[in-house]
Amino acid sequence: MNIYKGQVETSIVSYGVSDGLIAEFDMLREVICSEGRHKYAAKTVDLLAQHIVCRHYGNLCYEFSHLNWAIILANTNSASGNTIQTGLLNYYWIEQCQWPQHFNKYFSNLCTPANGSGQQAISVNINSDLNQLKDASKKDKALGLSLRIYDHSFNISASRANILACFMEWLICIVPDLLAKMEASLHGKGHNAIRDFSSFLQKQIYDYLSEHLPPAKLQQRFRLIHNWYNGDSAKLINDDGVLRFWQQHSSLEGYGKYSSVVKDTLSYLTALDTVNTSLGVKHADNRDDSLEEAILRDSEPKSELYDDQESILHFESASQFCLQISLPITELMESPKALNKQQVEFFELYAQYSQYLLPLSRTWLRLQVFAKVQHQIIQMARVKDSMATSTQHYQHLCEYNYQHVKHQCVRLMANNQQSLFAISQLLSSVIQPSMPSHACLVLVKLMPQLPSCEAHAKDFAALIENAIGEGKVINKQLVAQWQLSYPYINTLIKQSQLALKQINRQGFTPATLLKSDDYLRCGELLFDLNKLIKQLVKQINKHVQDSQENFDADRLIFISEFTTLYSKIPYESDSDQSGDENGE
Amino acid sequence: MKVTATKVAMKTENKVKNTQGNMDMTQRAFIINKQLQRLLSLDDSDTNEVNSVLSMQAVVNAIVEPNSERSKQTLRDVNTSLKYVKWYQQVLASYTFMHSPAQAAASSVKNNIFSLERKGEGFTLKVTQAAQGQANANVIVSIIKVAPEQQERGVFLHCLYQDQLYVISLGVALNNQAQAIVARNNKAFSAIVTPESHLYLS
Repeated sequence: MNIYKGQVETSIVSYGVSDGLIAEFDMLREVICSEGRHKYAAKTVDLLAQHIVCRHYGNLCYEFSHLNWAIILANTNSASGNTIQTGLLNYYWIEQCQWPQHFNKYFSNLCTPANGSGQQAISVNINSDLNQLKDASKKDKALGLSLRIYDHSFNISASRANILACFMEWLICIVPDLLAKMEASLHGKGHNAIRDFSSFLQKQIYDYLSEHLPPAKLQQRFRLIHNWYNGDSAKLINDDGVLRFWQQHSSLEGYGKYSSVVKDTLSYLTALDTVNTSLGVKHADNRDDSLEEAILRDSEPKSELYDDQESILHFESASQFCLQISLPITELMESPKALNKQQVEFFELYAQYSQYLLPLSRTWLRLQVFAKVQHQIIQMARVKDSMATSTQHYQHLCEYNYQHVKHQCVRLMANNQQSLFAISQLLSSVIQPSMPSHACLVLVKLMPQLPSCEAHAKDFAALIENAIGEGKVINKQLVAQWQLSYPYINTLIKQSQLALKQINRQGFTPATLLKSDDYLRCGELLFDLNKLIKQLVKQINKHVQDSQENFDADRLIFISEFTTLYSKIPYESDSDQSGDENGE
Repeated sequence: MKVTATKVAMKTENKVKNTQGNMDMTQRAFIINKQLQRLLSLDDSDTNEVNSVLSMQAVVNAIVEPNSERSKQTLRDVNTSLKYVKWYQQVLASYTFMHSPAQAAASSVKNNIFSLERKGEGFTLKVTQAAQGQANANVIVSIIKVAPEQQERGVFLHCLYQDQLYVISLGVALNNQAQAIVARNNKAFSAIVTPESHLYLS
């Protein structure tokens, strides 16, 4: 096996995803709508990825077909004189109905509100009266469409607007002539046509994914790692186990990189957990249910329209992974921009897999130092830089040690504390000036993290509690009074003012102000993030993993490994394609 | 009680299979996690140069706001793939009714002085020699009824010729006329004057 092949690993080998599909999802994340912001929420794109990867898209296709049937019917009945395809283009791309408000507005302009009387055989109705539109808290949830086609009825909630539009944006890339096909299949048709069209879409997606999400390489990877760890995560997966796995397999396709081994290990641990806990149990239950059903009544032909139980279970457990276990650290890159891209990249893997990486903290340190060095070596080898071949140079590349990485963690914590100060200042001075209570709560929560204020954290908390207990409103005057009476509060507020002055990232400047909810959510995430960082740093300290001794030992191992992997370039330089194993 | 007996038997069998089943489930969960790792993450250190993908929204934006820098880049990207050219044309066809399909137009060159007139739905196109010299031509459109958005952001001529798109900004219409000066050695110029091009006015 050619070692160089390992260096230009395709995404299919490493992740079982084609470059094309990756590019499509990158595109979905970058789509800009007419207001200049992202058309699809990051969460929406993640959700779509989950549907696709878990092959849980039958219900989505069915819902999507109903929506398009409704758009087509509404356009047929309207006086606009648009053609069907123009109507569809309008809905998705010109009027851009990707948010619940737009969705409701679109359909309330085109159809009459539902009322008890006058039930038509075929109709599209907006569910609630428009007065609710004014109620901001309800407008996302309460409204939606109800469709009637003879005795079939179907509801689409307005909150689904974003995912359904995002689905369309992806589908139009993969299904040729989609709009024409929609018109031909759904215009003037009924429920059967909706089902048929939904199955048609499913088939198209299925075919597309068999090329773009091929599992074969991942199955190989799974068997390899499963044989190595033998399903026993607790005993066998430790920092040395991961390292040894890499040392033994680094000449195999897809395992040249230490980071690949670590990422596979994390996926493996996640998979074991999901099956051993929720998924496995549910699966067993479901299996019994379906058995019972199968025996009690003759098995009726299974409708292919809906997703099978297992897909749904995988989807649910993936949701759990996406929403609960991991900290959605990427959200911190915008509205407001609390972290930059480098900071997110530095901590993203840990934020996603903190429960597994905390006990593997040495592995995480190795990843931060040596996986990066390896990446550099590979880059140099790609451009045939002769430096890539010398062991001395590898030594030179390892300029950062584990202490540096730890300091980077501490700096990130400090950065987050400054952002929290700035948020508190924004909340009390600009966003909710009449109600500084939220700002105070942010400060109270922040104080234990700051050596200078730690001692007063309880005092301040008691102060707020008492004020609330006495029925006082925490307003500007009260805070000013506190500021006079308690020097530490004065210091805190001064610090907040200073922090806001010094941050000029998006969301922290007068021109880019956001809603209070955005800041509160960002604050929550920053607190969670700092908690994670603190745990990690504690763990590193506990095992003295940042000691020079440990670093030197690891450096020896990695450099020797890199030398074996990359330092025989003269053999290779003539032809990258040569399939020869480079000599040991 | 036959049913119960069968059920018990099947349950036992089920247990035997369970380890294998769990293994399959674990494998599937592993695959899903790996694939999500790539699709959810912004870590792109592993990718080789990936061709970027255009969104339909970008194509629509390029037609609605042809003057912005982003739209100009989109137009260049559109011209790299027939798929996107078709999208562009489809959106144009929905977006504006003013167009002139490929036809036999009367154009003439006399003593290197150029003139052409072409009628489209809702507008007439005239190309004449520019006063500034032979290297340039005047492109003038007369519009029967100027659309509100054309008043606002100006008039644009989109020409589709040999699967390539060219866009010319004609400015805001005055007295139902909008015009621009185009260099005759410009590819867009050849696209406008050839009868085989499909013209759209937005």
